[in-house]
Amino acid sequence: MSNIVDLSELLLLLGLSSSATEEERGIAQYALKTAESSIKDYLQYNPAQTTYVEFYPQSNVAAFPGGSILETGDTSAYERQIGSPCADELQLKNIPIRSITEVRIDYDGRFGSRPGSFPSSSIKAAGSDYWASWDGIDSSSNLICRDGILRSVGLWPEQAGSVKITYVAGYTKEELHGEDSVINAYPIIECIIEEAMRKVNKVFQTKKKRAGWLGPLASENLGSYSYSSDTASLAKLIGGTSLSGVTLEKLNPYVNWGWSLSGGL
Amino acid sequence: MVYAYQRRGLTRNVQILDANSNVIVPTGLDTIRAIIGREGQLGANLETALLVVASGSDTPAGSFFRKNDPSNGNNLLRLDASDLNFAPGTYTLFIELLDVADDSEWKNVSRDVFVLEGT
Repeated sequence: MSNIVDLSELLLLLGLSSSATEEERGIAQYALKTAESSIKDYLQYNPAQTTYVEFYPQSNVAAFPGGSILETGDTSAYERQIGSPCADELQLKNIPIRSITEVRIDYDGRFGSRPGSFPSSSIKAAGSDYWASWDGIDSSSNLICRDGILRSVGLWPEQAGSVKITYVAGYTKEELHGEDSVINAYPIIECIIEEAMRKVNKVFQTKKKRAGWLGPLASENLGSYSYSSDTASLAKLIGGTSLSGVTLEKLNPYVNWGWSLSGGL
Repeated sequence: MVYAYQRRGLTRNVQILDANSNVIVPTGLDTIRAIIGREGQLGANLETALLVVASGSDTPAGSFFRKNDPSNGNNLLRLDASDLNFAPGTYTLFIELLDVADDSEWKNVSRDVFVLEGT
């Protein structure tokens, strides 16, 4: 089931708000679910506001033990300082960041799997030890960080799984539905609905072309009427997870490109 | 489909029918309720529903759902304008029945598209 778009919103735009059959509801619900899943996949995060607990970095950052390399020419050699591969910026997976509940650093944290890892003494102070790139204020006067970058007063640890972050990210229902006075994330909803409509129409077109077609029927009972869809048939009818070019264009401003480009570091 | 205006109340007669189109009359400890919210976003205990009106517990603003009122299995649903104070948009109106004679669980009666206009 979709947790961003209400099935009613899709039925209304399909012209089925007063007459949707159980079969049509089933098709629309399945289309909505797959459309939402495809869009989350493209964005690389769930746009609906959620609390996350994650461990960073995902892999060991440091590629060199030292901080310099030797470069040789014809007659001389130079020792060049290289920028450390670890940084004071940490790209979080989910955006936009709405609040940071807690950051803990344990150099032997092992992604929280070691008993006793990340003790309460490893909690860092917000504002002085770390802060997000807060770039605006939402309609509730709370800070918002659209790029998802968390900064540190020094360098973040380079050991994989040594930083544990609890944070809230994503858009509110009002922002997603274009009802917020400051942040408008409605294009995401619009894309989910348009992709779902495209999938539903594909099923309807297939249905029209095939006389006597029973649809994705799995079972039907008359007493206490019920109808259930065969998800395998629906999957074949609705198709894969490819999104249209127009959808991709609309979604581009919302994609977590930082996460994508950082390779999950 | 139910189309409502934010600054005006709404009254509807809701009849519950069984598979043979016979009217089910909720009586005694049976409870009926109307829920407005977004499907899949109501929360496990309806904590994120926008409005819940159940028989036997009118809302402080005066919305109610009366069983068998006036008679013949007509159930009177009244939504007060003060309770329609959520953001205009498209939602789902769920009607549910708790039939104590048939296990104590809520049964879905109907799901309608509910559109709220900010007028």
